[in-house]
Amino acid sequence: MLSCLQKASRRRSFDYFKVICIVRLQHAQVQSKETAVKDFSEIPQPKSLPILGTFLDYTKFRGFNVANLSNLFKARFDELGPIYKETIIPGLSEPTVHCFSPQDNEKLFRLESRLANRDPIEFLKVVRERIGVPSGLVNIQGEEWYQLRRIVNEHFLTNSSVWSYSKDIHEVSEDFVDYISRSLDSNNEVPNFALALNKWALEGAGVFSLDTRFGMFTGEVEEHLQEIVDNSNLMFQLMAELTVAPPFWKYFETKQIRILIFVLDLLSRYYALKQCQAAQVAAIKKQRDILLKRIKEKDPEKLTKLEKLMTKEVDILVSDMLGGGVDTTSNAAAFMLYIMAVNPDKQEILREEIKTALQSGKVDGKSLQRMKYLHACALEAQRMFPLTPGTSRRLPVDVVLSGYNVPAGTRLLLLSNVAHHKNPEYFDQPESFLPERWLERKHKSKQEWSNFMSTRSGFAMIGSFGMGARACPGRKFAMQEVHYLLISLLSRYKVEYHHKPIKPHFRLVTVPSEEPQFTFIPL
Amino acid sequence: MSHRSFSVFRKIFSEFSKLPLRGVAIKQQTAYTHKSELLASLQQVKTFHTTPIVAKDKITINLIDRKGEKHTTSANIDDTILDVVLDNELNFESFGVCEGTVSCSTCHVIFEDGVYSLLEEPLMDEMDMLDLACGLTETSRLGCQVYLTKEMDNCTVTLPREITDARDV
Repeated sequence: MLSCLQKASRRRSFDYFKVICIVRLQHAQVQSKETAVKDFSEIPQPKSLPILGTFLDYTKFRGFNVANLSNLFKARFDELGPIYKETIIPGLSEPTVHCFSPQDNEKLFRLESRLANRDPIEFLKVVRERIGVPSGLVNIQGEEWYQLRRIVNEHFLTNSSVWSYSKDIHEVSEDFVDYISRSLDSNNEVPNFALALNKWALEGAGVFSLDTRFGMFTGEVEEHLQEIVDNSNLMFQLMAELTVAPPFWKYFETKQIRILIFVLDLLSRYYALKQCQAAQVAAIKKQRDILLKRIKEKDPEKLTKLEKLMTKEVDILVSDMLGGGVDTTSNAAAFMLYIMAVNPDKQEILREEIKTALQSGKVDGKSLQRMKYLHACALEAQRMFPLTPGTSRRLPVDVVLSGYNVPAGTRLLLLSNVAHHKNPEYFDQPESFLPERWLERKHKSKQEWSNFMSTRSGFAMIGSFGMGARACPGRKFAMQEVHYLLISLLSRYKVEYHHKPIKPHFRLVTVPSEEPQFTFIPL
Repeated sequence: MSHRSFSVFRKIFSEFSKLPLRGVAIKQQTAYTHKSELLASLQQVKTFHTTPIVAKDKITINLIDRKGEKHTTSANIDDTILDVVLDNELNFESFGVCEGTVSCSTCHVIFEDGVYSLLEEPLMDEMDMLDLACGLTETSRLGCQVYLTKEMDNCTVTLPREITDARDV
């Protein structure tokens, strides 16, 4: 009896704290230079037609191409300001608030509680239900998400776990560079390098999700794997189109949905086959059993609901790892190599740091974290070519954003990457690739640096991995992979680029607008 | 074995099995932040100590919460500050929201000067998140990334007063 009361009062005090937090924030907002808080209905909206809403803006009728979705957001930002509300088709879609202001990012970052809520990818959820597999970590919410995410965190985001794969990932990148050296043509280019990057990313993903080397570079590739690579590309293309298409697929099966169902079915059957061999999956399952046992001891009623869920969700984790870890990483690598190629002086500086590390033999996982220039290059590449325009949330409480009251339950899109990644107000010389900007902290006191970051650059860029408790779980693996690629490649080759300039194009994740055909000059 | 020694053995065994589990099993209550290799630790899900847990594995640590109250507790060496807060159920509000994955800055703590200089330099991931913490000082660190050592016995760790931006208020 007493423990129940204690538990209840603890929970109440947490809610009480949240209320105090919000009241304090709102109070501060009113007290500050801004005028009184405006109502939700006053948030600026783009011009919309009576029945069609703003739907036409997303069709070829107005010259829209899904690859330029980020440009549409930027255009709206330029026209309407740091916050706007849009309902694409009144009656069918819900009003979504788009925020661009770094101050709003900061507010949401500090308010984030344990159970961060981000809307599922609707069509993916529907398709997975149709195939009969669980929705996946990206699509579940609330307590279920939290329990699964704890398991995922322990295996994906703890340093000991990530660093235990560093040797294998280093080998993968060395094998990749050997493959490059074998495949160079007379122009010192690798034919269809985009596919080669996909193979590298898939090889790396295979290491940390299935503990196996697929052998994409040794020539003895399993027959299914080429299919997997081709299908992954198709999958991402379809997912990009479905994100912005009108939600007709909710009511009947469109052609796109049918293709997506087929592709995902194929991929999930392949992954289910491979799972038996995986030590990683065994480890996750063991972890899950321990977690379930602990929940059972504390709260048996919770168990029956969660148990069935978590058994199935763990199985889909592997396909999420392989699906989410290939296209994203290979695009990140393409942009990284591009920015290195067009900034040969920065490439030299990085090469010096890499050479020093290799000579002293310090290239394990932890030592990578001490290579400051490498880390700064990765951050700067994220700024110039963000892999996503931002992230999204659904608010648990009422919040005042940019002077407007936004009620709980509203869907938010935080899109500051699109608006501010090249904004001179937040980043000096925004068009230049300057990793040094992230290293200036040593020239300022901690206080100065913290003020600089939190008023300027820090929250202007959400980065490629989202923010807070719901940020990408694979980000440490991805960064490790790209770091090792740079280490292996830049120590043996000089990277150049002699074709049309590459711009970012949106395709669920940002992709290069041109083929990433780099030239590799042996050192 | 004679009847008498068998019953003694059984008594010792029953006492022994009541001892708390060391190693990975206890850490399941918190974000797994121990430094040991992942695979090795997974293989030994339960590790029993043949000797009782001795004082030399522990240190005393003082934590001052956001209201200025002092909590003194014992802590295991090689635990992180976040482990200490969670293991001892200190219930600091909004502390360690992302559970030690360096995705937030709510476990921001401030060390004394002398203790801060004993700590290893923060890794780049931690520095990126620490930059975004409120009320950053010269001796600030993220509590989920600082491992306790013997030299930190009796140190005082302070939580910053506000977790929202001090400039707002």
